[in-house]
Amino acid sequence: MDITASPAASPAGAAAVTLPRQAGIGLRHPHVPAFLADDRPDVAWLEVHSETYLVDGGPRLAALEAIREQYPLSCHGVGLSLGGAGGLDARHLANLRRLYDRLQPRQISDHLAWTGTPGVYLNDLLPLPLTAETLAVVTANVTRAQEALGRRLLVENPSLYMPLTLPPGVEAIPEPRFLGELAARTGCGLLLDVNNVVVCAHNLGFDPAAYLADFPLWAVGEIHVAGHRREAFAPWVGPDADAGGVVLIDDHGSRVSDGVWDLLAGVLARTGPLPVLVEWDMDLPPLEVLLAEAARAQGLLDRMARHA
Amino acid sequence: MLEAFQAQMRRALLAPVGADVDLAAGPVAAARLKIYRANVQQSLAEALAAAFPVTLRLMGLPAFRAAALDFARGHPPDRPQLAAYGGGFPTALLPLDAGAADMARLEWAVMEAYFAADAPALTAERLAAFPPGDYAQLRFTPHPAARIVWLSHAVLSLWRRAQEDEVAALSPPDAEAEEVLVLRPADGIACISLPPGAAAAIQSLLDSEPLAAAAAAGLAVDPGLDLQDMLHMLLAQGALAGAAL
Repeated sequence: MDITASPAASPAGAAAVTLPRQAGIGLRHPHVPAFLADDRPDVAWLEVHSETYLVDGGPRLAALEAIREQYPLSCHGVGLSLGGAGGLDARHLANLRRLYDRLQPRQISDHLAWTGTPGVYLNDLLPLPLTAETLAVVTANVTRAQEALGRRLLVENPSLYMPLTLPPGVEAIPEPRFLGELAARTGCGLLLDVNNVVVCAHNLGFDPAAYLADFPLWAVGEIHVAGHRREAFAPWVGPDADAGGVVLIDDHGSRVSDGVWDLLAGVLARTGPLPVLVEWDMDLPPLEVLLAEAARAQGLLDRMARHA
Repeated sequence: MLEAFQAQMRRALLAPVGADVDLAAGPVAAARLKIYRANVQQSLAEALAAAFPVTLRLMGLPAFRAAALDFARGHPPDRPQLAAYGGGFPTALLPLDAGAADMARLEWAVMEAYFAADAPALTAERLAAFPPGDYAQLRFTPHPAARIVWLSHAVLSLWRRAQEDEVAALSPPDAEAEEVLVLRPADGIACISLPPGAAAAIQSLLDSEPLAAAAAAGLAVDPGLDLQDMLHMLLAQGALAGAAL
């Protein structure tokens, strides 16, 4: 199989976009009471981390069930381990299916990553060597997940910190092409995280604009933006000291950077309005700050709509 | 290649210090591997800190962090469900700090109760529908959140103080037996310190033994146990979900 020689499969049609083509925010526990109040915040849609709600019952799940009556909901998973060589966890799939049947999200998603090995969950989105073998594994896993969950998945481009070195003779598939092939083979959509592109471009040393130029935008059903932090990490002596010494960490802990806003505008100019989510997980600010970030994203979307 | 890489990297991520990963060759990758190791171990320790906040305060951050990191490396979660992670942590604390281990057992019971399934509580009206002569043979369905914790340290008052005051210093708990009923009435969590005999009687009820057997179990511990008072409390706090003959 020669992936690199064939162009990414062309779309049969534009990917189905199931969320409002507007700005949404990630719903986090401290902000839940505001969304249960009478004068609830004005935002087009909400996204939650699916695994946070994998509980049997209680107030957390009850609050989300009330909120999802008022807002379109997206369930964003972090635990499918779509790149897991050992396959997917049947029990986890069944738990997610029950949750999704209960919450009826407009959209579900997870990541191009692995999160552990059978019976071990490492609570992090870990890097995959992008090879033909991995493409076959992820294709099989996404197909199984979509069948088991009874829904179409969006698969998100990951944030990466570490370059992987492939053995001699094993060819790397560029990530945009890998994701395009995955979407074409499985019918899944893609979740384009623009912040992750910026983080990876810095950490692995590539041009984010060139990456986005190659990205299979036809399959994108949702966009994420978020903040990242710069960290001087484990400096060492050597020729790569500068490139390696400062790492961008995808911590979702601050405002969206100007570079990410610019790239987002460039993407939307090509796609037209899409659902855009502002994620904020660490150092959670007051809800107003998060809503202001969403309003900025909405402003971009509104300008796109006017120019269309 | 993928399976071998993931097994090797999993081992490296859970190791106390660096371990080699073939695909992470060279100084850049080796240094960056540390980011992933820190993310994995620290995030799991933070998940334990979120589940056992009072235990953390009781032990102090350095001792808790060391114990949590050690536990995370040896017992990572078996599924992507952090609300279910940490059930083995209290036992792991036992050889280090028996008082903290009891606090952790109470906190874990609170976690389990908080995320337990929903069920309507049995009301006094529904109970009154049974003929009084048949009460002795009644068996109850416990509310999924209801559980008893048998402790060898008196940690409940400390736990309460910690809920009320986020900065108060917590002194080590006294080594004296305490039996606590953990419940989830309405939206909150209730922890009730039980009088002698009540834990045995309630545990018997939670195990779906008939009321007569539960009464006998409680009275065997303390002949002065007020069964009627206990049953009223269980109904008022929503500890029971159903009853059947």
